[in-house]
Amino acid sequence: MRRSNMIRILGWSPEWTAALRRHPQAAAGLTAGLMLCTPVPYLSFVALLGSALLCAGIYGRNEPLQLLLLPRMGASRLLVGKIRTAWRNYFGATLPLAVAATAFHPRAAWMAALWLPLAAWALAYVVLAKYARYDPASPASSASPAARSGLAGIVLPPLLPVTLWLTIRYALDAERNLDRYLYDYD
Amino acid sequence: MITIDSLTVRHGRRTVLDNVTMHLTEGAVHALVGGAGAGKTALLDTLAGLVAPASGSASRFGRPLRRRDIAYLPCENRLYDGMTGRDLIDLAAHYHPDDDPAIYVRLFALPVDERIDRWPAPRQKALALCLALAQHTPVVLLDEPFEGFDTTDLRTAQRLILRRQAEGTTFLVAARDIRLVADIADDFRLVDNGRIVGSYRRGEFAEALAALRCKKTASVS
Repeated sequence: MRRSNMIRILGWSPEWTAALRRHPQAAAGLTAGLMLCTPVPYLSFVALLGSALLCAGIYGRNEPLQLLLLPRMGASRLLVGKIRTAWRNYFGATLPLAVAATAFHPRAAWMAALWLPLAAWALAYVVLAKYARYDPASPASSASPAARSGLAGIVLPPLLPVTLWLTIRYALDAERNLDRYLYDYD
Repeated sequence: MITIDSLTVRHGRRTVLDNVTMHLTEGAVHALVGGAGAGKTALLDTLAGLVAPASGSASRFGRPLRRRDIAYLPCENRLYDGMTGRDLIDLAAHYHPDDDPAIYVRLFALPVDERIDRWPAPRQKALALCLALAQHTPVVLLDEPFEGFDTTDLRTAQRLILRRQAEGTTFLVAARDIRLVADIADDFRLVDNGRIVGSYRRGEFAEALAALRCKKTASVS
């Protein structure tokens, strides 16, 4: 049987593959928009951070993976793998744009230094928030209001401590929650 | 031998499984038959580890049933809607390199290049069944695996189950319609109100059917 290329390119991530298959025009539009913003001073990094939040939002809205499709690995390995794949897919697409934006406007390099950890944080946060609530027996998977407000902390500095606290809490919850299903794969 | 010992499950105040005890021989197809809400799904969910029992246990050869020993096909289709069938098959083969669902999928002639959410529910079920069977776990739990299947798909699915059974896999298959499992089950257990109310061997299918009809008549009257 012929193999699917998209899921392989996207690091075997069902979340990213489903999102791209569902919203191909939005993905193309976002890429075009980011490319257009690249030569505009400062705006490029604001747009890049916005795209990270958009990707995080879409990731969080995806339905949970059926139990029979979970990989045979322990909870912490699965979480680390999910976060690394999210970073790989997002930064693989946006890093060239960030480099180009910095080349166009070297004085905006400080924004690149800010964008990189904040985008990485947003993506890690949403993976942890999703798997903290993961329930293969329930189709409901939309992010809770608390999880959404935590994501807002990435762009609203006064909320940053809340986001930090929620990140730690979700990390603990996610491992404990996944351990219920993957306890004998360590 | 899989032993289910005094398993009780509660959803809030409601008891959905009431002190269920069963001994399932290895390498056989065991059918759980009963109406909606009888407790079949609760039993399979508990064995799969999705629901924690209030009391009781499930063990295999004297050791607690392990997640790695089980493949579970839930009643509802919960596959990633946005993905194509091929995406899911490749994902499963990537996660479980020793298994190849593609071998099973070919037999159902599924539209693998289309997005899953555009497939009719029985086609989605067929794909989920292939993914469950391909895992080559010693125990397979199937909840309404033939729902909506036409005769061809039903025969294909039954053939695949019997092939895996011949390899030594133990099946626990829940079905509302006893006729769907009549050709493959080695024994039938009737479930009602969270209890096992009757056990019948393959040769006693007529008695099982009569008992089931009797239950339905009683509940209607």
